[in-house]
Amino acid sequence: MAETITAPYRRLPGRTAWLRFGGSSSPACSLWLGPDHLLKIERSTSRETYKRFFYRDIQSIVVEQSSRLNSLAGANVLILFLLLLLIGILNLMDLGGSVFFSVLALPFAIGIIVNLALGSTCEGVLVTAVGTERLSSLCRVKPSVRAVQLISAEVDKAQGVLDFAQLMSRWPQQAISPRVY
Amino acid sequence: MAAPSKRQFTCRKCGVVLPPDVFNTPELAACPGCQNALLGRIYPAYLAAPREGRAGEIIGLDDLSSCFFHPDRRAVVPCGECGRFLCALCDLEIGGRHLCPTCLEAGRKKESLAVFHTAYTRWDNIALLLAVLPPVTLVGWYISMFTAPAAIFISIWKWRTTHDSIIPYSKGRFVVALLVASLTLAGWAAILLTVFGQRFR
Repeated sequence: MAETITAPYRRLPGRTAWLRFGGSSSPACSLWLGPDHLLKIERSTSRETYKRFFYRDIQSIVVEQSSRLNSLAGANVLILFLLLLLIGILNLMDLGGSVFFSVLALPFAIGIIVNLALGSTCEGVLVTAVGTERLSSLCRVKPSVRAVQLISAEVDKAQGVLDFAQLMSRWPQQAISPRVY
Repeated sequence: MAAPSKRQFTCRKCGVVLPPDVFNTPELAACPGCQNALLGRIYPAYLAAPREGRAGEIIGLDDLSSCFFHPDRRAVVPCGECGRFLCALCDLEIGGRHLCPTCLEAGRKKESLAVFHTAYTRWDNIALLLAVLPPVTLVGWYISMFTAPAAIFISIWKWRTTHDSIIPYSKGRFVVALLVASLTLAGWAAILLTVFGQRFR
């Protein structure tokens, strides 16, 4: 049988967050644009698995802003505040101790700056006729918007463009359960 | 014609059913319930009626070709692999190719069709971990005597597998694993030579 494995892929913007809190058990993933499908690669240390979503089958992509940025920033600020408090107290007694805790506090200060620089957090899902797929690489708004635009361009080529007026006129009057998410 | 019933979209934050005017907007839209920002794209596949399954057409007297698997059905396309004539029922379109069930099954077993390539073992990561992790950990440094040869073995044995992934990787991790593992082995050799050299002197 002919060798047909190699296909040209283009990586989409977006990286799975390093820190993921409770309930977010999905593995790290990346998204790639293929010739006729979107490839989702889920990675662990020793293995990667592939999921393909053909452009003609994609029904929808939704990216919603989440409150993870606030949780991350809140946790960072709290730890930093406690460390600064400790440094303040130690500063009066011991110089070595305050230097030690200053070094300890530095990563949290950097964490806050990086987190704010990366922008708002979000969650992305892709919907097909048979299910909903969480796209954990779409976790920051800016790269997610760029990724959705690139995916949409390919889906529009495969399915045709659905403009706003068409969408309003053809929207199902009675959307039924089950909910998409 | 009445629009078909569809699944509904709800806001993850407040649970409100999202109206159509929040989708396919040029910029981020807001949920009508909680004003949470969202970007939604709906494509024609969402509004389309479900695709119906195809059945092979009964062959007529004037038809020249019939399906290899169903002689009473009209052939519509040849198999992209073996060339057998296929009816609409037997024609399986995968990644733009038309295949018969036999070739599809063979492709699945051999993983020679790209669509059946669903997983890849990262041997380069395994080799790198075996080479780097034990020497740098306080607890596991002594097992590096065994993990370093394993890392060298895997790096040489699986050297070519970086091209088996759908996304080809460089051999950088293998190179680093080989270097670190070689240095570790050299270190062990020096230690052993020093210890045993002194004992037998």
